[in-house]
Formats: sequence, C-alpha cells, structure tokens
Amino acid sequence: MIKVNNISYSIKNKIIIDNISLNIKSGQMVSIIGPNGAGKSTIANITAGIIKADSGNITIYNKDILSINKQEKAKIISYVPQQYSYSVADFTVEDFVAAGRYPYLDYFGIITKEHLDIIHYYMNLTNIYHLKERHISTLSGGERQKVNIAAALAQEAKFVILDEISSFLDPKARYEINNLLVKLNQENKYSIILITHDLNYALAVKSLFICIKKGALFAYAESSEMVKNNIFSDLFDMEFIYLKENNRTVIVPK
Amino acid sequence: MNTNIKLFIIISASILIVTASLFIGIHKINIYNIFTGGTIDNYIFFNTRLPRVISGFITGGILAVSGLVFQSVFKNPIATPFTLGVAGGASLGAAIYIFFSQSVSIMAVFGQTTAAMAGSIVTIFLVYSFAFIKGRLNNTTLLLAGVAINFFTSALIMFIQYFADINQSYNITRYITGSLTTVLPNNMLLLIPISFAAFIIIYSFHKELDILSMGEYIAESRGVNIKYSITILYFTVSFAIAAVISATGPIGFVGMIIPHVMRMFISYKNKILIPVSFIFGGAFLVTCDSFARTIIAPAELPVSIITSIIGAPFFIFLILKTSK
Repeated sequence: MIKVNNISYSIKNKIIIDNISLNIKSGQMVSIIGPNGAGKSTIANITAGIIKADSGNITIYNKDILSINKQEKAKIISYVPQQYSYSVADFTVEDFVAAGRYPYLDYFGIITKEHLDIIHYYMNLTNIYHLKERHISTLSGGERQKVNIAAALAQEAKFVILDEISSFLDPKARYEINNLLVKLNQENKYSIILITHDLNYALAVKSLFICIKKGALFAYAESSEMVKNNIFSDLFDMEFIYLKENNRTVIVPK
Repeated sequence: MNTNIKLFIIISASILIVTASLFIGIHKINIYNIFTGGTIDNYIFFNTRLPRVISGFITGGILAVSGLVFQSVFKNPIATPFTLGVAGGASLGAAIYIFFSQSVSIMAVFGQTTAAMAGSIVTIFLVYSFAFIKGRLNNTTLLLAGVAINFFTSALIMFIQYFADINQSYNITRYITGSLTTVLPNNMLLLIPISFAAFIIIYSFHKELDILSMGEYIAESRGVNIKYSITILYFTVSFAIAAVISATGPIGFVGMIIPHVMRMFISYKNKILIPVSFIFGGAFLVTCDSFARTIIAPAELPVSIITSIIGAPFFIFLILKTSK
C-alpha cells in the first residue's frame, strides 16, 4: 500500500501541490483526473519518488520512499512517462525492454536466460514480441507506447503509474492499451495509477477517481459517486451529460 | 555484419595503426636496432616515439570516452568533453601562468601544466556548484553553466592576450592549439594511472549510462540512482580530461566524433561502446599525430589542427552516408 501524507510542492513560489494526502491500496485501479495544470503529473511524479516534495512524505508498506534504496523502490513502483523519444542511442525494442530488469541485475549486468524469459513474457503480453529487432525510431506512436509500457512492466513492480500515455494515440491503439491495463489489474493484480483525460475509459473500468484541482485534492470517489453527484462538472467547471447504455455510462460535454 | 566481426576489425586495425605509428617519423627506425642498447634507434624509440604514441593513445582514448559519457548523460549528441568548460578553465590557467611567468626553461612547461590543471579543477567545482536546484542535479543547468564558463574563460584569455607581449601571446595560442609535443615524461606517470582508474570507474557505470540516455524519468523508474551516478561520472570524466589536457591543451573533435562513429558501426550498448571508443579514439589521435609529426617535417603541426581537418569532413561524409 502506498500512502501519500500531506504533500506540498512549489516551483518558484507558485504552489503546485497543496497538502495532498492519498491512500492507494494494492490491486486498485485509480484514475487521477483534473484540469490541465492542476498538478496531476506532479503528484504522480512525487508518488513515484521521482520528484521530492517540499513537505510531507510518501510511504510504501509503511517505509518512507526516500529511505528505500532506488533499486528496491523500482521493484515496487514503476513509472511510464508520457512519451519516449530516443536521443543518442536508438535502442532495439528488446534492449529497451531489457532495461526494465535493471533493479534485478548484479554488478556485471548480465541478462541471464531467466531475465530474458521475463522480458519476452512482457513483450508478448503487450503484443510487441514481433517488433523485437526493430529500432525505436522506426516504430509508430502506438507501438512506442506499448514498448514503453512493456519496459516498465519488466520491472515487475506491482504499482504502475502511467502518465497520460494514451493522449497521442489513435482509437485502436488506445483501445488495445486500455484493455491491457484492465487485464494487468484484474488478472495479474497490478495496482494501476493512471493520469488521464480519458474520462470514459476511467468510468468504463470502474476505477477509483482522484480529482485534483488547483493543486489540492478536490474529490476522492468511486465511479458511481462521480456520476451521481456530478463531480465532473464541478471539477472541470463545465456541464456534462451522461448517456447510459447496457450498464455503461458515457460522459460527453453538454 | 556481425558485431563480433566488426569489433575484431576495429581492434586489429587500431593495434596495427598504433604499432605502425611507432615507426613513422623524420628519423627512420631500423626495427633490428631497437633493442640494441646505445644505438640512436634504441634511444629514439624508447625516449621519443614510444612515450609520444602512448600519450597520444591515452589522450585520444580519454577524450573519446569522456565525450561518450557526456553525450549519454546529457542526452545530447553534440556534447563533447569540453562542453562543461574544463578546457576553458585549463586554457585560462595556462594563459595566466604564461602571462606572469618570465622563465623559458623546462620548468615553464611544468608550471604551465600545473596552472592549467588548477584552472580546470576550479572550473570543475564551479560548474558543479551551479548544477543543484532544490538538492536535485539539474542537467540543463549543468550544461548551461558549462557553456557560460566557456564563453567567460575565452573572453578572459582574449583579455590577457591583448595585454601580453607577442611572445607570451604566441605561447598562449600554442597552448590553446592542443598538441602532444608538450607532454613530458613526468606527465605520463600521472596520465597512465589516472586514465586507467577513470576507465574502470566509467566502465562500471555502463548499465547506468544506457538507461540515463533514455531520460531522467525512465532512469528514475528503473531504479538508477541518478544523482550519485552523474556526480561520480562528472568528476571522473572531468578530472581525467583535466589531467590529459593540462599537458596537451585542448584537442577538439576526437571526443565528439569517435563515440558517434563507434555507435553507428559497432553498437549503442555502453558495455561495448566504452572500450571500443577508448581504443579507436586512441588509435585515431595517434594517426593524426603521425601526420602532425611528418606533414611539414622537420617542423611539427599541432595535432588538434589535424584532428579537425581529417575528422570534420569524414564525419560529414558518414552522416550523409547513413541518413536516408
């Protein structure tokens, strides 16, 4: 379980995160939503231990995240950034995913048969095994995003934080990735923490909603409550209508 | 082509070049006289050629590996060993020494090297002290600080040159145009252990360098201790370069192109890239130095002129050839 306790963070005297506390339980599917600039990515980065908060602390299974060795932390939490763009080295898909095994490697960094099996398992799970030899620069946005996810999964951390990963994807690629996350959550018991603007997806998978507005926790609610109390409208300051079909609720701007 | 075959070609070509360079020069060395004590061939081989080739090899190797490290750490393909201002600091140190010293003895070269070393060490700590924001190492700030320091030191050098007499000004220019002629035997005693240690330390970070080049967020997620890795790498690379260029003066281009060429032809994996860049970087500089020693014989050209004259067109050729 991850506990976020009274986190505050500011940049150049502008308050980005204002005293937020959260609990994320094992096996939960959580969506962090809110307007642009609300501090969603920042709170996710702080939760992942990437950014250090000005005050407050994060505990993983009751241990302060800053006191945990980085490699040990990587075995508990993994983080998928918005996009991966290659820079000096144009990795092959397999090598890029293999980097996910870093927390488990010894000093010499040898990728053994066991590691390779795990790497291939996650490549198959994300349906990118056929891209094994391809270089990242030759992949489409959707393929790149799956590679990005596969590499994080290869860390075998039970908490996966994903930062707006489907923003640039076409409907099919988005659909595939969304299904993958549900599968990971339901079958593999991963805790998925998703920063997203895809409200319909978050509703469809019945995730728990963490609503952030102006750096503060605005609401913390189940899908049903979000709809019943029309929290979306207050969060985004706009009117929404809800369409119900076959037990599924779809939200669209009014 | 298989990576192992390419590796074999690169390594054997490097060994061949380095060995051949021992026999290239104004004085033709007869191979049978080398181990005969008292002959002129024996003297030149062990007192001139061998130290020169070794210092060229180490210098080229360290420059190439340093460039490689900075390119990965800053995720910037045009980063060079001098991007963070170490060369600027060394040059300024040397310039100040030349301006204030009166002697022209062998001590002058030693003093110049020491002053250059002092200049670069000051720069190393100065740049590093700018790099922390909120206790977090900031790559962009580090890079900008380095660039700013480079401009600042070159302005100060021009300032000194403006007031220096013609002789001092000439000596300053000679230092800034890096050359292997100024490497003394006692520099070698420092260079060999330092470069060996630097290589071992850098190599031990090969996995981290791979992941650091993927970006800070991914590196954090994978569990790389970024601050620790970058701090160790920064100081290792900077001190190694300081040790090398305080003796030679800044030698450009090796540190930028060799890692690229090796990455294009051999592998992007640092496990292979680090040693192969060192070897080929060393061989490249030794080759350039052979030209520098012979092209206008009996006079010598500073090797840094040759590295860029050969290196730049070759590099452009490669880029055109590989980019479709």
